[in-house]
Amino acid sequence: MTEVLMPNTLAEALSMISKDGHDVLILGSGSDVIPRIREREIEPKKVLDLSGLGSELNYIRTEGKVIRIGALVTVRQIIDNELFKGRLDAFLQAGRMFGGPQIRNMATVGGNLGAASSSEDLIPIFIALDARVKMASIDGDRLVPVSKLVVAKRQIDRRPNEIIREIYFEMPDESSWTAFFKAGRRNSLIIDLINMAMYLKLNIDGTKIEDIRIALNRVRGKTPERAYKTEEYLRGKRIENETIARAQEVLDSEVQLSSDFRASAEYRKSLDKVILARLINNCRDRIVEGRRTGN
Amino acid sequence: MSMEVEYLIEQLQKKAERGELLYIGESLNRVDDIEKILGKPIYTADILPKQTLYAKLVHSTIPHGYIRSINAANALNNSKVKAVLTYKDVPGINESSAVIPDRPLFADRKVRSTGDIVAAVLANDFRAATEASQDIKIEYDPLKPIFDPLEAMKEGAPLIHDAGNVAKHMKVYKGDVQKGFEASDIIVEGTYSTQFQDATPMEPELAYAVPKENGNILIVGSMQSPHITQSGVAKALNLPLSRVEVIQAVTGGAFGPKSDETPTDLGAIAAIGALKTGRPVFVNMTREDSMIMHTKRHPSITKLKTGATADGKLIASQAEMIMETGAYASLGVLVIVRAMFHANGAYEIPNVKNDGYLVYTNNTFAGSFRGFGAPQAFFASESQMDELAKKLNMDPLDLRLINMLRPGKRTSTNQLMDAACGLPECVEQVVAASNYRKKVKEYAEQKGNTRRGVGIAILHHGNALGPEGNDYVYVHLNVDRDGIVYLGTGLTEYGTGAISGLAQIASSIMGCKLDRFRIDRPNSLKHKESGPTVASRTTAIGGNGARDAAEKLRDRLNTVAAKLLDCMTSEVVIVDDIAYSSSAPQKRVGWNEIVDEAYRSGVSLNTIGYYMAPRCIWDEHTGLGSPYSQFTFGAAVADVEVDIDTGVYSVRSYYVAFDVGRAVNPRNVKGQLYGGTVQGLGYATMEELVHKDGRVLNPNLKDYYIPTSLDIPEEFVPIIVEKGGAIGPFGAKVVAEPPIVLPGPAVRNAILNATGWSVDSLPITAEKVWREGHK
Repeated sequence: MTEVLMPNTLAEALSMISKDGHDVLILGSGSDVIPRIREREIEPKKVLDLSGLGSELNYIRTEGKVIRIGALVTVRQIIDNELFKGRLDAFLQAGRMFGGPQIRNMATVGGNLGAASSSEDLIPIFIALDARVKMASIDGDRLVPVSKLVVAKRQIDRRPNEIIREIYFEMPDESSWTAFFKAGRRNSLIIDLINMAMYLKLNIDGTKIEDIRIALNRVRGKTPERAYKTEEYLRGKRIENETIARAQEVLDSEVQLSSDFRASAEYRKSLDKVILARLINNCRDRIVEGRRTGN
Repeated sequence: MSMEVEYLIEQLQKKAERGELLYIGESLNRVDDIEKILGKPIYTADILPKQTLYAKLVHSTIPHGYIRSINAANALNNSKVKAVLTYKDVPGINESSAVIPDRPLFADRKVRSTGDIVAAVLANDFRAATEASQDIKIEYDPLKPIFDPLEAMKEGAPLIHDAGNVAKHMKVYKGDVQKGFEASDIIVEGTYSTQFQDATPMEPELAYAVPKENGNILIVGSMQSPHITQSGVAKALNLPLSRVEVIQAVTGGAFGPKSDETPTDLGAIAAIGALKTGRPVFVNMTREDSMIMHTKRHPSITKLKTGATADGKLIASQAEMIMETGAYASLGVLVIVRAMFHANGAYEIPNVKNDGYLVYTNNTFAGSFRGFGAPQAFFASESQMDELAKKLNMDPLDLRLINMLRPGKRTSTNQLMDAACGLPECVEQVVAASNYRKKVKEYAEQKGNTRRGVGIAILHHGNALGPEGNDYVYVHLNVDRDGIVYLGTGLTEYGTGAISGLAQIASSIMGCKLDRFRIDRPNSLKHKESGPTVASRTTAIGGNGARDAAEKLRDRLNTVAAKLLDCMTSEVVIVDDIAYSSSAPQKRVGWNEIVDEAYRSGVSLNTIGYYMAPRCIWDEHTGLGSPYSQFTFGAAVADVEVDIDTGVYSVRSYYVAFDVGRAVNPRNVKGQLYGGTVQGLGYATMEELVHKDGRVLNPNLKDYYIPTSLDIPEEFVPIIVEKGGAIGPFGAKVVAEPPIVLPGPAVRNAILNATGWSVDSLPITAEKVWREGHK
């Protein structure tokens, strides 16, 4: 029998897992967890249902440059929020192809981070934004850079007495843009062959890449990571065909992918390279366009 | 007379002038649609009898080997477990196979695939049964498995069955293919391959059995053909047919795999368990169980060679198809026959040599699936036509126009096409609707990374069983005292609406409203055996049975109505629940008055209609003759957009025209055009059941992709052409299967048109397109 804990406040929730948190599975909307329980992939002794914490954990807030997203914000809320229309385009790109409509309505940001399964499209975007995850516990909050959050497939840096409270990042400035792309074998409800999120900032006169962060669902291991070498190569470069071609080579040597029945490693790599070029050009074009139209 | 009746009479007269009846050709609602929309139908798993035990099947863990021992002691220690069944518990013949007796119900001596059933655990609940199923210890002596049909055909290959690894060799030989090639100016050759496709009916196979007090066994399940299940169960239980009552529950999709072994497996295992324990037994199947166990579409490798003159006239065609059936032959022995009859496409070709081989491997088994060999055959032949066109520097449409079947032309088996050959009309209409010529011109100018392309594919489709069996049907009609008409038949409804079409035919003839009809649940003891519900035969064959029964009743109704109207029977008109005399239409009597009078005067309104299609004559050695009584024809144009750098493409528009002879219910026909096309697009673009070392890698809907609403073309144009056929009621031809055939070659040819790249293997994944372009 599974015991279901249903706290009404975050404080209550945190005290419920202050001891013996090992046994507790935390449930946001259940879009990931419930099917796994039904299939008996996991058999938690206790489930902590956060659905009663909407007033505390469901918010999208701007504080100066910082955007804070509460753990219970749904993918649908992100897609519908004006804040994400523009430089945070990556979220819209990911959101449109995130699961199906029902999943988008249910799935939460916290759940996406917590599940850390191979189909969690938001994590690479947060990595590209260099976001921080705020873990809450009765001992206080702890910050984890999202790039260090996922330690293995379905395993994150969360202590047993912690709950993901929020994730936050700086809004990219007007010289920057974000983009996302995923490829699969159909148009929805897929396990990605590859995905890539990018944050790109141009220098003041718009001629060179001032900063770039590239996150992929797979680089070397089985967790989302940044393509640091490719980023390093691109930083300070002019966006020209030759530069991009060279960056593709760097990416090619940087990623180590494996084959499975969905696609070969070779094809995945070729997709990575094409998408790299497209996202760079897309970000550049949108920044330039934004400058021209004053957005 | 009311306006409404006047109008109906006028409609009737117009139709009568065309030799037709009031409701034929009308898009009426199905008899059962409101119920289904309201969620009322009771499916197999919805209501189980009290005290039902749940069965979980235990499959072989190895693809090939001998069973050394089966130890169920640990499982039986569980207090919830009531029995474990193996081959030792089969009272009758331990067999569950379709044509060749090559497949045991429970594996006994040998296992040949990971879909083989070794045991069944019966417990109080499904969870306990599932858990206990892991406690069955089976020891094997493994044999070398073969997963490649080409390996299996080699001399000295390990034998999967004692009689050899080739289950069937089917030939069609016409003229002299060698001379044909010698006389050809241009020859193209290619190898085309296709994959395992799963039918993924929305509801998996399910069945429960109840031991009855009179010693009978009752089986309720999700299935296509209750009488096949009845005879399979009777054989396994060593019972006379009269003691096995099989009821088809409302069935949530089928597409083929619910016609043969799997429903028999489940019914027989449930029945054996029920007789052994004295309790009802429900064999539950998860999606995974279903995808591992039931029959799939055969993978195929086809070597095709075509010769033509410089001006594009086809002279010779040679096909060699290796069709992989997995561990058992099932209906593959007939699938390969249909594949060979259609292997050269819908063309007149004087010299033909087709060899088809059905080959065993240690993968899970293939069998019946919508299309029945045609998707594999036409993918090869229609792909090759475009290669030939390319070599001839000719538009693929023009090449087809020169060679395609028309009235007066002959098929590969030498069958003569008569006026019922509507292929030219299909092509003409689909070309017009798709703007094919204009698009070909426009797309030829394209540069850049995104390219559009159009592809065409055409087909003929031999109707109903033809060479696959005796094509007969019985339809029961019974009008009760309230004027309700009960239609019963051994043919089943599983989502197509075809049984409702039978009611539409019967109501047209009897003259009563369609909403008076109720469909009996098919029952093996109540309804006469009518052959399997397969081969899209319900309307074309079953419709004739309905017509026969309805005509018998109509004669009796005319007699009764004539008495009430005081006219001659030949003057009686009954339409839309109202009867009148054509000589004096002012006087009318209603349906219930006629029914009342029939009951009062002892006129039986209960009858059975019968129809048997004419025998098809063909030569077993050469394949020549007329294997089918009539053909359906179709043509499709796909318009695709390809991303050159990644190979990712989408089907933007799809146009399809089918000559269905006569659409009894045009809306239902379009439903089949839509549904068949979408399932065919799945086959063309993404669906692939993958085996690795004999094990299915993706037996679930997370890893086995079928199209979602986002994968369907934005523009989809279905066109109905009507060139009445020889045997179907009112000229109706079959429609349920053929639409699945065209997307494969149409999409493949559209990609060729867009990129110049030939992808000769299904499914056409983005990766394959990319590989073709980046060789």
